[in-house]
Amino acid sequence: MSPNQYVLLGYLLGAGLLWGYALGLWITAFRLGRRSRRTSHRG
Amino acid sequence: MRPSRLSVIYWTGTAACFAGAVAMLIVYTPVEPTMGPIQKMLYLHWPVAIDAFAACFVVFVASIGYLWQREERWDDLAVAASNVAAVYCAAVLVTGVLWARSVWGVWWIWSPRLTFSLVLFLLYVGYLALRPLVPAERRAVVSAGYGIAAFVDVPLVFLSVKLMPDVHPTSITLAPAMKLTLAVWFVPITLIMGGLIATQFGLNRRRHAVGGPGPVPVRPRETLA
Repeated sequence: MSPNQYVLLGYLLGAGLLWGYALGLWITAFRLGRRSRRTSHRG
Repeated sequence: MRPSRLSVIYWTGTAACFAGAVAMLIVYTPVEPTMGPIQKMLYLHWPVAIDAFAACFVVFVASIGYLWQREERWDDLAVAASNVAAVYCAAVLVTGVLWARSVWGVWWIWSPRLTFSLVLFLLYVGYLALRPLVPAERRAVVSAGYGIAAFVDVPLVFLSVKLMPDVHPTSITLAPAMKLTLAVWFVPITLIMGGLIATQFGLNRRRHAVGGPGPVPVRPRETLA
């Protein structure tokens, strides 16, 4: 691989980890909010 | 969940900062003459490393806060920050090994800084992995002790290149355009870290509220009944 490809891969993986984690948190927050709404409707 | 307006503004601003930093890196930042294009890894590698230390420091402070006040929110904050510390350490290692492979031709060298960095990552992964194994009533206290002890590795990572022979330089000289790019990259990486800790902390708090599997034992059964 060329140095440019290593840089590209580094940024994709490194930044991908951070943004992927953020996306995962948002999905979890969305699911948790839906579950809490459903629970409060039952109550 | 409907995200709060503040949260939407925060993450949109962070994404815009990140996009701006990427654009700056591509069109503005010069290629370093000695090392070549691979040196551009620095602008992600360094801010992520410094922010990993910052996340570890949050774990350290929150752990002290828990031992001092015995309030659940400190434990929630320590867990949130340790998640972020582990992810940031992983990003440091990933960018580091790719840089090493390109420059030195090897993926890994057992130099002091690399070894201490790997240990730091394992310490915070260990924090999260071992936490559920501790009995629920002692989990927060044991985690707080661990969070304080784990922070000892941060100065070791930082000072290792000054105290021991290492492949990392003890200091680097950057052209003004490179310094500016590095400063700009600190903004989105730090904003992401702050947003991740805040979001994870909010999730930990809300998990308790809805009775889900929180990072610390949920309220005792008798209080739920």
